[in-house]
Amino acid sequence: MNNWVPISKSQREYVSLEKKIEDFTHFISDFVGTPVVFSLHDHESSPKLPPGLYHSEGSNELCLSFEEGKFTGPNNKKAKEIFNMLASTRNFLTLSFSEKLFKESETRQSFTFLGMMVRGLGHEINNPLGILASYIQYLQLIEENTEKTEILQNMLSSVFRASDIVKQISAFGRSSPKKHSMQLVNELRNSLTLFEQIRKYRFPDIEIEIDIIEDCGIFVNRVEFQEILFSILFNSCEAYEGEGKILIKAEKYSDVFCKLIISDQGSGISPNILPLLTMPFFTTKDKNDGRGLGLTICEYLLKRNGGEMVITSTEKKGTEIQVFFLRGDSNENSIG
Amino acid sequence: MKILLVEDDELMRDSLERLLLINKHSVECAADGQIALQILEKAKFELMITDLLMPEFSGHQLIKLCREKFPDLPIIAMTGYLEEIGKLDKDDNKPDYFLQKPFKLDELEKIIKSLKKS
Repeated sequence: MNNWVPISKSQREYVSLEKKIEDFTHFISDFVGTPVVFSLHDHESSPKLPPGLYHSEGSNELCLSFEEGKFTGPNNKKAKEIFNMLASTRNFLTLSFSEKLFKESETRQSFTFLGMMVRGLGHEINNPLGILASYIQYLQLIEENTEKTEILQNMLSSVFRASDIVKQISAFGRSSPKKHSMQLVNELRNSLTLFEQIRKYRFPDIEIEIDIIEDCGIFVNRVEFQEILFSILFNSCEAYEGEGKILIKAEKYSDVFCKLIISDQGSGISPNILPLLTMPFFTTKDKNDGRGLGLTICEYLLKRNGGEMVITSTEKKGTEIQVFFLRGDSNENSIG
Repeated sequence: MKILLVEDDELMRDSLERLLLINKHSVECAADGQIALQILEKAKFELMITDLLMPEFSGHQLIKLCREKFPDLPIIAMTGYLEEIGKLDKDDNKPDYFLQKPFKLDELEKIIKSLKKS
């Protein structure tokens, strides 16, 4: 018999429930760092629990008890909207984790087993790659034979290619992002100023236009916001063969989310490929140009900042990417 | 330039020493931070290149002590472990530059050139 305890708010993660509950449970288990069993009860069948979020003392069960319009859990206004959405669409779910659960996983310094492995990857693989790079560059300086010099250059390129992959994979081993409230339009403009340094020489024929429908506060990690935006912009720029324009719209979406819409009129993506875009190592580009991790990491970073991404596309007409960010208007959102 | 190279990995030390020597720098090597400090007590160097993640006596500790004892010594920190770079923000153990392994020789030479200018 479970002893259900209401979860106090200290950390929140918004997750898409489009996949099965099982996938969702694995995601939460990874986040918390211990196996978690999750059950979804409606108010009628729950063991006389008032609407709210609970965790079971002594085990790792989380329980969501709700009745449309009557949710009285943490952060009433926002949670109410989310639970209403859940009741009607079952697309988004809010979860609160107990401070104790979250702090324990932080103290263990192993956010997940995978995270632990990945954090070691940077060191364990970059060191021998560093040795290879140094020796190869030394040989290049003493080698006179042109054929051998060419071979050495190919070897060096391969070393840096491997290192790029390590850097990208290492993104998955980072510790929890420190999020802050900031203004969407300000962050967008700052990011685009930075992107301009790359666009100028890499995509000189691409124009980027902003259309601010409305500004709002967002709650993200600043660096990861930039990484997310850059990743999407790179893909949009590469959708064009020559000239082209990318349009970025910014607007509020709801009390909880605001939205950026990034659209291009490039080559578009076929319906077969669309669901594969965020799969690790999937790429439509030449193997020397694309590692197939850009959108995978982009989606991962976005989700761990509480956001979501929706991609729609028509071949030869263009692609539209909607990026949802958590709003950060209220004080309660200044959680690191 | 007269360079002190601090690196616990033997092959990394050897490969980097060769690269620096062929670029006409003079190089002395230390396999750990303690040895590096002993060398620094006895001779003057124009640059120290140190690994960050070393057993027993880390690069962070070495940099912190060098800032106290040898404040004029320029320091480049190397690492293969990306999160170590984030720990370089604290003022008392901040190197002048950091290099992530693997790195290109011309990246290192650009840093050395700008250190010579200043």
